[in-house]
Amino acid sequence: MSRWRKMAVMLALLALLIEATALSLATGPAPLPAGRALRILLSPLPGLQDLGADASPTDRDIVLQVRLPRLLLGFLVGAALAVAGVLMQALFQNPMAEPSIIGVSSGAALGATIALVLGQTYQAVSGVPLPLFAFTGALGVSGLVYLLSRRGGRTPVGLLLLTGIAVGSLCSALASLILVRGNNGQVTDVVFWMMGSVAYQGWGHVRMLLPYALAGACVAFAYSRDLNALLLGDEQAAHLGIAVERVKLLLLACGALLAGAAVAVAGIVGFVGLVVPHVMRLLLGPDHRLLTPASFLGGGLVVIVAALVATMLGAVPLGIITSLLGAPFFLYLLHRQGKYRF
Amino acid sequence: MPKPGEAALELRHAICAYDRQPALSGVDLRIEPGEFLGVIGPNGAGKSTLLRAMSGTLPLSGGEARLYGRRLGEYRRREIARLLAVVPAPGMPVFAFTAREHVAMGRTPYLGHLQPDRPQDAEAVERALAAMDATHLAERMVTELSAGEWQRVSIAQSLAQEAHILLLDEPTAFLDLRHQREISELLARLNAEQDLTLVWVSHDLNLAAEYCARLVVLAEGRVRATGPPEAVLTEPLIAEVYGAPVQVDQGPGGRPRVTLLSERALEAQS
Repeated sequence: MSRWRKMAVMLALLALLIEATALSLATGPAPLPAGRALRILLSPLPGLQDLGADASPTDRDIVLQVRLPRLLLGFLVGAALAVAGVLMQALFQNPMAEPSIIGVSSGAALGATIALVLGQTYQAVSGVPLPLFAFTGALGVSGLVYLLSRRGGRTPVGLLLLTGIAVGSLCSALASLILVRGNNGQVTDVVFWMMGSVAYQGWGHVRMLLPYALAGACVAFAYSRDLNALLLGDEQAAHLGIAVERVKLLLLACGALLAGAAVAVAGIVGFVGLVVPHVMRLLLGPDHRLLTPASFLGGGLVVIVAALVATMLGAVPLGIITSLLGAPFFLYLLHRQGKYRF
Repeated sequence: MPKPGEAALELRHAICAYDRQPALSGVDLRIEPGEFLGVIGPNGAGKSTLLRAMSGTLPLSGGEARLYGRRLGEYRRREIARLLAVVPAPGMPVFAFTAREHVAMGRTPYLGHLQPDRPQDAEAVERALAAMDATHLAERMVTELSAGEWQRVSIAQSLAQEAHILLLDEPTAFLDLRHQREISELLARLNAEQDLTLVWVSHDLNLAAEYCARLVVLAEGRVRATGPPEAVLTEPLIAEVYGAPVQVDQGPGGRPRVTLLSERALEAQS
């Protein structure tokens, strides 16, 4: 993989991100010219107030209070899920791993179901915002999966994987059990939450996700070398000087935080955590020093574009778009490669 | 690093167990700096466990393991990795690193989290590739290498660690004769020229006898015999430990040569 190709891929990612940003800010029920939308976007910056001079206050509000937070939220959700996917694939030494493998999604879904269905019945539940429930569910369940997978001071990845599947099914069953007691409106709410969306969220959600997404991505990037070594298996990673169990716990927690926070604010957005690291690995190779930042940008880009398509199709839930686009693309990738390698 | 008179690695009555199933039951073994030691023994004798005990990846449940006089448990993982490298049993690579990237991971114990590779790291990587005759493979993907090439790259990663001790788990398994010889000669050269301490686990008694200066025979988690190949590889001992009839004579280089006796050969003998 030549240095030039790597640089070209990164530049193309940045260019596409700028393009998608302009399109997203311009697209919606009240279309704006992309140039004006971009000028409004830049106008709050010091010294650039003049850029927004031709825009009406309504246009400014649409761009800065409605579309910009959605755009940022979409970016952060995608970035967090993709980096979480990178972490899981390295920790499980398996290119098919994704964040939900340790129960993040099913835990979040259980938390959200509790909040949506029991919220109306029990006072204690109703005051707490839904994202907090989903986040607690995601972290609680992945923590439980980790603890149940400990054997004599170690956490074998095979055991972690199977425990994740079992605990995940348990959570889904519990969520369904709660759901059958709900009324139609609550069931609809839960179903829509599970399809994932960034269309109705505002700055509050961005502020909730931002610290986790940035901190998580920074930790993942700082441990790029450890992640490379972990791809060789726990034992060889230890031979290379990695304190495997400590690093594994840290990075699992990091992945659970990233994915948990993303799911908590946006619901379940499928395939991003699986496909984006894959595509970046095909384009750039498996070295995490490049793969992690590239997946951060690529994940953000994919969700921005998916949210744009969702808006253009008339508020279709985001998670449906990512799966509709992601699954066939993934199948194409698997078929295109004659040899099964990553 | 090594002080005079100090063992490179030393196990004292080492006991290891998986799920209370003993794998090593009291192993005493002292390995001198610069030794080329072969570890042989039947399946399940504890050879791989012995490597894990010596590399500190499997904690002992009894006895002690010392690396240059200090207990393994007192080292940090990074410190161990600078003194001792392990070439794992051959398996095929999953992720498509280039050979050079794979070898460069051997520098992990010397580099901080966000520290870029330094010139001396790049030099160590090139030296390791050259020592394994793998410089021409550097830009190839490890997933596209042949078994012999991959094994050389795998050993080069451990060499890039610039450790004093190299533990190898069956480095010649699955290789044809030319590649077995190639790897063995490269290892012998490293041992002679760079004073690298080598511990080589092998199923191939003849290869071990030909290249190692000393052999250790493991059986049922204990050291059954140790010494130079001609003292250790005797017909009764091999028949007892492996449970198979053999004939031992002298090979062209003076080292013992072990021939497995088939039913047909036994009939012809009698």
